[in-house]
Amino acid sequence: MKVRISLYTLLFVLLFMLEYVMTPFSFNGVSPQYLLCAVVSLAMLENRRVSTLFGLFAGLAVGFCAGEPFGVSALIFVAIGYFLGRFMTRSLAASFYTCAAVCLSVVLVRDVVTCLIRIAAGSATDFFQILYRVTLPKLLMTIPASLVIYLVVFGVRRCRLWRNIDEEY
Amino acid sequence: MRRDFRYRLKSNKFAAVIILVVCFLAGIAVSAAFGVSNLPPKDAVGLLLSPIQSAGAAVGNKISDISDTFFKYDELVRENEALRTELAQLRIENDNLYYLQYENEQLRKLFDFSQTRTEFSYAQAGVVARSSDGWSRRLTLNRGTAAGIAIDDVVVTGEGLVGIVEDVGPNWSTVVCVTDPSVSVGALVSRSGDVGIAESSVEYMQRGLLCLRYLSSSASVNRGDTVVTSGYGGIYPEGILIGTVSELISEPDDLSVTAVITPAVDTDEIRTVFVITNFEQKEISDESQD
Repeated sequence: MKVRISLYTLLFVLLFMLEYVMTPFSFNGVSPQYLLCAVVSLAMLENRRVSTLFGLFAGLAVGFCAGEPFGVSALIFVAIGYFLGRFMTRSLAASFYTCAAVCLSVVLVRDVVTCLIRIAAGSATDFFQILYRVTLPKLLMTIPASLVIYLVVFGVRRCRLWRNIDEEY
Repeated sequence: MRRDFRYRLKSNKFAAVIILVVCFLAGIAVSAAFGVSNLPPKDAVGLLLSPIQSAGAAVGNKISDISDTFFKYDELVRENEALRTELAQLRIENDNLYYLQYENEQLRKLFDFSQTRTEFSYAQAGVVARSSDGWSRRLTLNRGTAAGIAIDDVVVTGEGLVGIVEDVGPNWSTVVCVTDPSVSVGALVSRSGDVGIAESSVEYMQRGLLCLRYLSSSASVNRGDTVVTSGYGGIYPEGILIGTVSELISEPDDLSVTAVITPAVDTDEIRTVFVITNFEQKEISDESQD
């Protein structure tokens, strides 16, 4: 478990760098939602404690960089980490398709709500134009990102090597 | 013996050899006497031999290469590794030089800027993160209160205005850029003196633009005009370049004109910014508003 936690910490740092520092896959200032994909993947494949903790740190980091009111992203990510983890064990099967579907749903719902708030605040006017320019690229880029991150988490979760190392030390 | 010599002289072969020897001696004599080295026979020989030499050299080199492959393989591998290491080091040095050149350009621009605005003091900071959600344009800087940065400090580069400090910690600060929809800047067109408010929306932000609103319909604004901060409102110091006018849009009410501005600073590309730390913002009191 210690090795897995270390690997998830490393994954967190790497994904944070990809999403906010280096942004190698960025279009119009929009990057794939790597950290969200990681939270969803962890909620599906790991236990709730890990996914909730990861969601908390990821949410705080996202909120810090996005400049939104403190705790909004953290609350959403923690909720995803906790409730999705709980829901998964009962009825939903963990698979890449489920992971991608959940990620896309969260991005879509969040962007629609943000867009409506922006329009109400007067800082945006054209709902569909904004969804086309902001949300669509985000969705399209998040699909491959969710596949890769799901496979990474799957590999970390299932690999017996970590168990052996944990037992050794 | 004499008979033998006569017999040989009569022989055609021997005569031919003698003629050749005489010819050679004559050639040597002519070459030595007149300093001519490329006599026609020599050229002819060279012409014939050159392709043969080339072919021979190619075959020889090939054989040498093959033998080198067997006998100098280890040496070549070592040499290759050494060259790869040297190349990697040179690439790193090259990248460092490019970065230093970029930093030097930035500092030179700031120096030019600071020479015109000597009343300000600046804190240099690096951009360490950018918002990537598509809804805002914010930068995270690697300097904070320890460097004298405070909330609402104005952030610039040598090219112009970047934004304003929104939040600050001991060793970090977040900057909301001028292209963010939540920012409004008092601005004026430097050529005509027309005054408006530079602000953005999500649509404009996505295109990396902002617009100068509330210009009167009689305003004299043309494409290419530079737009600077007006200083009205007391938040931004006056005279900092915001951008250039790239398009003019008449509002439906015909009472005002909106000018689309291309910002002077591309916030997606900047790596170093400068925070003006000693500009005292003027609070607009109710009395002064009245």
